Amino acid sequence: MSQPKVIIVSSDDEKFPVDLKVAEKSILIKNMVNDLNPDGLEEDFELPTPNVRSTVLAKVLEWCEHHKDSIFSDDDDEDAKKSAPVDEWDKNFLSVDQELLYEIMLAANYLNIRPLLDSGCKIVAEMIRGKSPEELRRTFNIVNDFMPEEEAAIRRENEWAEDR
Amino acid sequence: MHTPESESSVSEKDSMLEGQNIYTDSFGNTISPETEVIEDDEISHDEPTAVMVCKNINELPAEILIRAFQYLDPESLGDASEVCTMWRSLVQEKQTWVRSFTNQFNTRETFPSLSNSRWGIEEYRSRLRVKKRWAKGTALHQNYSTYNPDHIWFVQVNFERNNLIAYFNFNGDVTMCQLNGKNQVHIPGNNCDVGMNSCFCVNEKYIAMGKWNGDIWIKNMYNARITGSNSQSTVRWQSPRSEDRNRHLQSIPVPTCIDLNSNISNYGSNFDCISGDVYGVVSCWTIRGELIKSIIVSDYPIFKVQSNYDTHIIATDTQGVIHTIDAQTFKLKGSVSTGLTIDIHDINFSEWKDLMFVDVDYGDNKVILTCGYKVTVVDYINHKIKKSWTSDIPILYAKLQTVQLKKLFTRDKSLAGSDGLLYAHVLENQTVVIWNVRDDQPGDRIQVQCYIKPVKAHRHMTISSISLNSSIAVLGHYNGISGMYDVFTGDYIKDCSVRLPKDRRHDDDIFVQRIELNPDPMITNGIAVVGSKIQYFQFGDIPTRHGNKKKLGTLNGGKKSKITNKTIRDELVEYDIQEEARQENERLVTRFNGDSISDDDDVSLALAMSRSEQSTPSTHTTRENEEEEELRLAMALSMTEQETFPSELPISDPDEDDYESQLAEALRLSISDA
Repeated sequence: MSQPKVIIVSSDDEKFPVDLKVAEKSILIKNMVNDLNPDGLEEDFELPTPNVRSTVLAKVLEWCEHHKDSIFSDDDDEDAKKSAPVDEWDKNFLSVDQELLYEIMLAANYLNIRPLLDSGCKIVAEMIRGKSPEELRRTFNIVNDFMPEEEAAIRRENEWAEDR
Repeated sequence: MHTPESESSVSEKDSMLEGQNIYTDSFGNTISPETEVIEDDEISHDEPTAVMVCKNINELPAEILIRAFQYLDPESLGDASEVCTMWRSLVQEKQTWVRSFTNQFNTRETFPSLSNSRWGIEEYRSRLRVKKRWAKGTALHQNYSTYNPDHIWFVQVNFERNNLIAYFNFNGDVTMCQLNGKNQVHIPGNNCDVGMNSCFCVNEKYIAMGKWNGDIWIKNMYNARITGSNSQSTVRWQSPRSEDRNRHLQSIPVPTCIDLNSNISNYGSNFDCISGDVYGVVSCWTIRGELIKSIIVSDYPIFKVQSNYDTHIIATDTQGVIHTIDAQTFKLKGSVSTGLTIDIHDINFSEWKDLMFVDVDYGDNKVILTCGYKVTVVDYINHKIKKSWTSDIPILYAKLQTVQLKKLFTRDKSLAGSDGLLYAHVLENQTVVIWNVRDDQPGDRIQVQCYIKPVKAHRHMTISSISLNSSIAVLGHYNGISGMYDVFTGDYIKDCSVRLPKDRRHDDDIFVQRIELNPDPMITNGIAVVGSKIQYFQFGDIPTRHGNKKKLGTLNGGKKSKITNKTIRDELVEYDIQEEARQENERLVTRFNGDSISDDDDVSLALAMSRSEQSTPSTHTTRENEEEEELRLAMALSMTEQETFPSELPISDPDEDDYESQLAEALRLSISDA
């Protein structure tokens, strides 16, 4: 018999059978599988993720599949991973529209896939970097909710800091 | 995790509405008891959870946005704070800055502050500026020798007052000079101290010495400079003896350690000097040698006494027991044993100082004790061991970062970086370990900030000295060679001091004995001591933050230029004196010469005349007319004179101002020359 699989069910009831190794990229799934199968996985294990859409889940699992052999540093060893630039494959993989990117990040956060979340965050940071506030509002479709005088005060504050 | 929690709370509420008995597991999933008994422990499927949809970046949980912001440099964070109120509040989150700093500088949650600011952005800019100055600023190196050809044993540097004191052990001589070696003043030790010190401590004004015969001497260097004699500048007294000390072989209470207040009051009424002796007695003295209190704290010799001269006295004995004494009541508050001991039988105790290292962080109530392989951090208020670390390799040397005293005595956790304090250990394999004394992370193990391995070119040389501040660490090797390293990453930056020219007197390599960095973390200069030579190094211009003159000008050592400077200075003074005399003369002349006085006289005369003329009828109309005309003229003249006269005073004022400003200028010049 082949290896038992973890079947992840999306919110729209689509089933994604994946190898345990792939599924374990999600710490949430890993812990859950381990807790509920203390003797190891013996048969297929169905696991619902009722708040993740199938499009998003497909993307997330694609990432897990690609990175199933990658070794990521532990949470404790923060210094190593932080300064590292985004992996080239991740960069292409996450070149999606903003909505999907956010949902992938949300799913990664929920499923506790730190490296995927970090890549997403780095890409968002990349999108923010080097843009003026006005450009940022346009890029991210954010409404300027400052009072005019408030905005002026903040700008002055920042300029003052720059001059020094 | 933000999301699972909110999810679970939502589902919990919903399930309560349904009236079911459902609980939440650690992953934020709701599990109902009836499903739990099912064999494969299936999770309830009917969980009414909303599908995660996210149309706008601001719908992401704050946790995730902060995660994204941490990858931004502070410049971009500044821009991001102008986008909308939500972003602004996120940018102001402490976590965002802490993480951004970690990404930028490899700092941890706690690190020493440069700017003393609560604002991350200001700290960031200060860090960038200082880092740039150390790495890329124009370097200035000035080498000089003290007049005394002996090796310098110890230096005390005050960067703010531009003042260096070099202490020579062999003859007790002291040399005082400016940081760049100018204005050297030699204070003879009169050979009274040869090999006689069991311990010593210096500050800017006093040298305190412990003597093998149990005496303590305190020499006032300012008096010594003026009188040149020991008898007039030195106070000496005996340590207290008590009868029950005879159980020891030595009957003399030899002082083993001594400490001076760095800020001694002029009246000398407070306790400003602490000594510890070989019988475990700690004594507190005034600077005049009056005993304030003697406390028996231990059965073993005191290794080191330290105090902030305000709240606590920390005495460490050779058994590694740290005793806390209240500095107001002089009562022993408690003791902690660290288990780190030094063998006192083998070694002459003047050599103890290399066996154990004790530093006190008064701002965080911690004592850091290093001995052999082990480092222990003790909370001296609660008498507990806080953290420890055991190295695989022997620790040769320990050093607390160079820091302003007020930073050491107090801690302001609200500052960017929580006002951290760094500590360095040099290991036998020539590696330096840097960690943060004020690291607030839980756990009893010391978290290492970074390891510094000397750059390849320096690797064959031993590390003879180390100094670190809030941004760099300097490892001294020999002949003036020292490397500068980033204190957070351990990366090599550049050579800090330069190799000294060969000296015929010393063929051997001379170790860099001491490196002193400016305690002001924003100012990028320092001192390296090699044998009898001192090197002043400075990178970039020195900011004149406090309005003090900090710019030390260019190199102009050598006697010739000194003489030229002196003549120029003398000439300037002479010119000023002459100019002053000339101006004074002029002012007197204008005020009291014939014109002004005769004017007054003229007026009174003319008035008197006009009266007499009017009273006596005249026949000579033509002459009268003439006289009248003259009188009118004279009066008009005098009127104008009188009108202009008061305005003469303000005219003389600018002169005076000018003179004063000239004087100030000349004074300033002469000071800067000096």
